[in-house]
Amino acid sequence: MIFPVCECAIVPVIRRLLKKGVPLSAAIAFLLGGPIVNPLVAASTAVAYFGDWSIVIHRMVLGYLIAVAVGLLMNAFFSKTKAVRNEVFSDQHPMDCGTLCIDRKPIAFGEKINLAVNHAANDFFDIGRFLVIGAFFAAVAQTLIPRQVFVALTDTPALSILIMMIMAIALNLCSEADAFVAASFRSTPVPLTAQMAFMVLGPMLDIKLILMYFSVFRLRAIVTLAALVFLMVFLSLVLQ
Amino acid sequence: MQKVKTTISLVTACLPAIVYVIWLNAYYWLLKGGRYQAFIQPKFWPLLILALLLLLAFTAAFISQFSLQSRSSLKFDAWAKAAILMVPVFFLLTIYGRSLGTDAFSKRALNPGQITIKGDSNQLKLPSRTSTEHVTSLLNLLADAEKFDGKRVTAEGMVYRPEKNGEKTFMLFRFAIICCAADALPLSIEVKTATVENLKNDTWVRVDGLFNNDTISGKQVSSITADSVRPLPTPPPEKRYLFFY
Repeated sequence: MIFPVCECAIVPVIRRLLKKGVPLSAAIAFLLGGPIVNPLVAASTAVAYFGDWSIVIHRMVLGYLIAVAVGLLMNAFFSKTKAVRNEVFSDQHPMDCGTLCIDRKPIAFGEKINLAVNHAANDFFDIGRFLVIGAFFAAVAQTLIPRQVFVALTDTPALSILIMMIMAIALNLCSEADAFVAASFRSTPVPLTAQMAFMVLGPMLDIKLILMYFSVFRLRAIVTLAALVFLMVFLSLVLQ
Repeated sequence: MQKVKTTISLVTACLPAIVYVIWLNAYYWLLKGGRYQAFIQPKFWPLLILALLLLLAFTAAFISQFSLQSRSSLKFDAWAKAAILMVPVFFLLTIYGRSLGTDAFSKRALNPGQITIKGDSNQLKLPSRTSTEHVTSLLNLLADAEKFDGKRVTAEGMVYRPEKNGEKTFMLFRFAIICCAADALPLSIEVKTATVENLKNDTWVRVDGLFNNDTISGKQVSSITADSVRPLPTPPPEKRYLFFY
């Protein structure tokens, strides 16, 4: 809640947290919930929906609950070592000391800062490629898929939710801006539950995120995570 | 041969620093002269400064930690990572000067030709980046449609002629950015003209005329009955988008 970060920036953070020993359930809950439950996203949603705080609260609560539920379920299905790639735990860089220590001796504040910057620099070089490849797919989807196609398929609420969820995955929008795109559907037959599905699923699952998840999780864990998120978002909104 | 191998090994080891420096230059290029406004919200300039400082810190940290040991730890995959990270910089340089046009408009517009903005300008705070004193931005026209109803207005934007429209009507459109061009929303008003205007899609025009705001089946439908439609030179890339906030 006090760490406003979008879904792209949170993946390297999760990578480090897992390496430092954070439990899988907590890491996944933070990974999924962090990009929704934060003040910047709350503010952008409020502005996009002209100060309708019920929508903001709905989005935050739903995002939080689904993130926690998926975190707990993933923990039940996978052990940490089975879900997370080996590289996350290995010391890839000689100067990279995951516990901020050198030969188990405490280090000076300046050196800690230097190590922190090094971690960030290494993450930029290691994980940046996933963001670039994801952005490429996002650009292709934005260029080729007309948004009217989705509006034309919104005859039933369940179908609307499904279509908007697929659109959230295809468009790869940032969680801090997606509310404005969702709000633009108010002048169409797309119901509010479907707009909510777009805003809740997008920050948890899209093409670029799936690519970025490959830097942290194994394939089976990603497939399970994606299926759980998709299913829970769909069910939580279709049953309302 | 050994010298070549040593050089390649050294360059491979330095690849992260090379990428940081190239990105650093890209950020400086974006900030210089406000070029970033051709891609993102103008109020985000502090974030670009922050990114620039971070890249400086990355470069400094890399240099301070560089050693022969690190040189041997970086293999061929470093070249692949560096090549992928260079793509956005290459894209930035080639795309500058181009902006979203009729193709993006036809893909992003939800209603046939028109997006409506509900609310008022007091809530939205939406001054046009390209407005002069007498030109009203499409964003303000649509947000305050009731206020402008029946009044004479001057608006600027690009031309879009859907095939089904008659020869004496076209859509005047622009894109409004919240965060960046990826989330840009199309805004448009139908323009009715007395004579056939031979204007091609994507042409920038200034329209003077009477603003009409009707509500048809609960939807706001705005139009301008034009007295004159004058072609304009294409604005510089930094001034083509409108911005929320």
